Amino acid sequence: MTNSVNLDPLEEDFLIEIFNLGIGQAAASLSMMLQQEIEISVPEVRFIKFCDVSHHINASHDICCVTQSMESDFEVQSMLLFPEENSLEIVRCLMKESFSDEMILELQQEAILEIGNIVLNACIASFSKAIQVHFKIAPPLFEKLDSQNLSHSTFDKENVVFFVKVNLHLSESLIDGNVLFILKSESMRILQQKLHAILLSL
Amino acid sequence: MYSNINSKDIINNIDIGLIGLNKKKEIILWNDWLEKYTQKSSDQTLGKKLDEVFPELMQYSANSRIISAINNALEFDFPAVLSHAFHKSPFPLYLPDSKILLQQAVSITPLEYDSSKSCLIQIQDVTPATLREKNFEAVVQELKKTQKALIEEKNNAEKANSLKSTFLSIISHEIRTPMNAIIGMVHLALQTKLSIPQLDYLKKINVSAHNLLSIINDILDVSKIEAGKLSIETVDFYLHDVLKNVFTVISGNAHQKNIPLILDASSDLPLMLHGDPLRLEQILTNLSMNAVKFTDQGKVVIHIKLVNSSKNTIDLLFSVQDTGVGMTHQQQTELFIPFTQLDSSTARKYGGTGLGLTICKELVELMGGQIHIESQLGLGSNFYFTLQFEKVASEVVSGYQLPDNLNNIRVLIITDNNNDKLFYLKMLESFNLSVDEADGYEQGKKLLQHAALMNQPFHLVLLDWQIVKNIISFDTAEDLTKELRLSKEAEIILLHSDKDLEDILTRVSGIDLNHLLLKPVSPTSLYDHIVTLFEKKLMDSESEANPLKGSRILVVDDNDFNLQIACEILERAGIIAEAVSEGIKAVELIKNSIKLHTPYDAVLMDIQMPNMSGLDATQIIRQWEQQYSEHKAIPIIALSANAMVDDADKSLASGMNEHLSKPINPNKLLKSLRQWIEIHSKQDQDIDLNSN
Repeated sequence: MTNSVNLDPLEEDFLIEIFNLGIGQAAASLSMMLQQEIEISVPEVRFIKFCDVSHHINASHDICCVTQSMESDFEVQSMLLFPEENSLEIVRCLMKESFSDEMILELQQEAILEIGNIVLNACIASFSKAIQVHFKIAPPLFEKLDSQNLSHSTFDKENVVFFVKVNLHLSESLIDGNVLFILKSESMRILQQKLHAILLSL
Repeated sequence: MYSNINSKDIINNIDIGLIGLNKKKEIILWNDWLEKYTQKSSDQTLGKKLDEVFPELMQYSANSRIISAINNALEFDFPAVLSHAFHKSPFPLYLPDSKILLQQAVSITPLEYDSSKSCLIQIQDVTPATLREKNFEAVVQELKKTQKALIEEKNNAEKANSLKSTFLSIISHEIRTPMNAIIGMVHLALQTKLSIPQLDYLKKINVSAHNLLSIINDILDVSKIEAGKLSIETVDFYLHDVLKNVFTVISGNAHQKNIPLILDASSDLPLMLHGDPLRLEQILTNLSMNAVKFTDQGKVVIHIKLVNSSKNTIDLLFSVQDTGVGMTHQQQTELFIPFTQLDSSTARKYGGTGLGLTICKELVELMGGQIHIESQLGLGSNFYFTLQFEKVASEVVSGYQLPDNLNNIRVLIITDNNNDKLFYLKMLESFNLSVDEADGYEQGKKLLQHAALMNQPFHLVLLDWQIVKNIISFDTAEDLTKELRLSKEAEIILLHSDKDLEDILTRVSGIDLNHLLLKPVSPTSLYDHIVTLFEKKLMDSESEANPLKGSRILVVDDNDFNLQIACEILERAGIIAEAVSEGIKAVELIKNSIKLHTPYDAVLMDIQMPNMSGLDATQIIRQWEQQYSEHKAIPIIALSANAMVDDADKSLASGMNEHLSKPINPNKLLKSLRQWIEIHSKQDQDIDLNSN
């Protein structure tokens, strides 16, 4: 793991564990809701700068994105990203009936919004419990972004991103996606302090 | 402005359902919208627990999502959205006075109320949207069904088209067989003693049969084009042989319409090219035939020009120009569509299937060129295309080797057409003959006299009829010989155009056809004329017999008519022909003849026969010969209605010596037999010598 952010190995391991737990919970929730076995694995967690996000996302065209902002004494933007074609594949796999491509496109926004909501809530829950911070969480928003212009958003290039690769195992498909927790530099500093305190107290 | 509006009014007039829950999941907000779809008023619900109002909510595990979402909002302040894609109707809400469940989209927002956690549930009626989606899906499915049906239809049409092509190809083949019999029989009948009307009828049958055959060939080609099976062969060939054949085919029609057919070939053209002579001939014949067909006065000219020459390749521009009816721009664009005539009246007036140009275009493109047209209504048309050919190595160009005893012939060319003269020179020199030339009759005469004086007489004079026809008068061929003061051994070949033939035949009585050569002259026709004229002489002098006389040839064909034609052609050449109608019997006869040391001199073998094909029979014979025969492999020549290049390849691969296609061209057949029998007897003698 090559990280461009200064976290000590202990802090890194701690965060990786948090996201693993969160993703595990998300998979359990989705399985229960859809009454089908859904596995989500986390092949990789990275800490990168926001300007490098585009390079790490395996998308050539549009990206479907669900965001939920979190606020306490520091701000975090949580995000679930899927390349457009992957998001359609997810909807196709999760629908109980078989629909035309046109109908899948019609259902895409709502369905991905709910899936994003479940996955992000689970990650946030795990994160907030681990660092013992209560966040005020905004309702989820669905957006379509151009993969090349991700950086147009309000984030600073230097913002730190916890970049989590997720693989959804659905029916016979394996679908790539990403969970991002984006912190502004001030927030990063506060988080590091909290991590430090927690790890010391362990 | 809105400050006076009561928030309760807003809550009750909004078009979404609002449920407020406190930490204990007791209902603290219930708007009129909910009353409408539950028939329960706020009085009946406020203060009650959610599962009391909606007991169904807790009964189904499918509802776990909404329950856990509410729990998460109340315990951890997590907002949630429930998509109707996954949850059609989370709450048991019904359209008024019906049992139809309302389709819902639900969102849950955590709130703080009276310093304690609570949440707001918003329920949106998405029934109309769902209905729209459902209709949309139905339309899409219908479209997909139509699309699928269309694709199926297209596939079926393609299949039908391919079946049509196959059918056309089979039927054309089937028609060719009786056509071959007709053409062969007419050929035989034309050589019998006939009354003038009979001769006229038979000649017309002959022309019609050939026309019909060419139509069938066109249909066969189009079906091959459609099936993508049309192929181009590449062999060395004489360009002027192709042109000669084109003129032979067209000149009759042109002569009938009194339209001069003119060849304008530049003098720098090579004698030989490497490419597909049959297809080139087909293109030029088609274009010229059209040109003659649509021209009522004026002329048709075939121009050939060298446009580019590199180390290995040569680009030739061919054009067929007429002074006919011409075409409008619109007509030109529709020209190359199969089965299209300019208009239906065209077909009636001029005839034709409308396939010729489609085939020409396809063939030119297959040979790497492109066909173009310039035309003006009423003034005429010009079809032109450029093709690239590979050059033929100079040692191959002198492909025609005259027999040794003809090598010392001295030839004089008398013509005032410079282009022709250069070309004749080139041809004769490629035969290794010594050639002189004269620009006019007087100069020619002088050269002849001089040669006679010097005791170095010319043996052959090529004389352009154009030059002499108005200068001298003669009644017999001898007169001309005398006039030119030639020795009796010398021969004259009169080069004439089609329209002069009648004039010559009336003015020079008793002239032998071997002394007449129709322009354009090709290497093959000139070679054949020279060999025929002088070999006849040699043969006469040496009273040597026809080499084919007395040969025994086995003819194998399952069609009785074809057998008869082949046998009669052979018998007329003094050959003993034996006929057999089955491949199996043929194999037995050939084996027996070899065992008895009286092998056939050659075998003519049909390809498609029941029980055993000609290819199989040949293979068996070749294998047997290898094991048991002391003789050299017997010449086997395929005589088949299959005229494709790959058919010829298959024949050769099976062990045959040559592949000739039907209808039988008697001259070609005899020439080929002579060649193979000569080679065979020479090889067999060698074997005898070696074994002795």
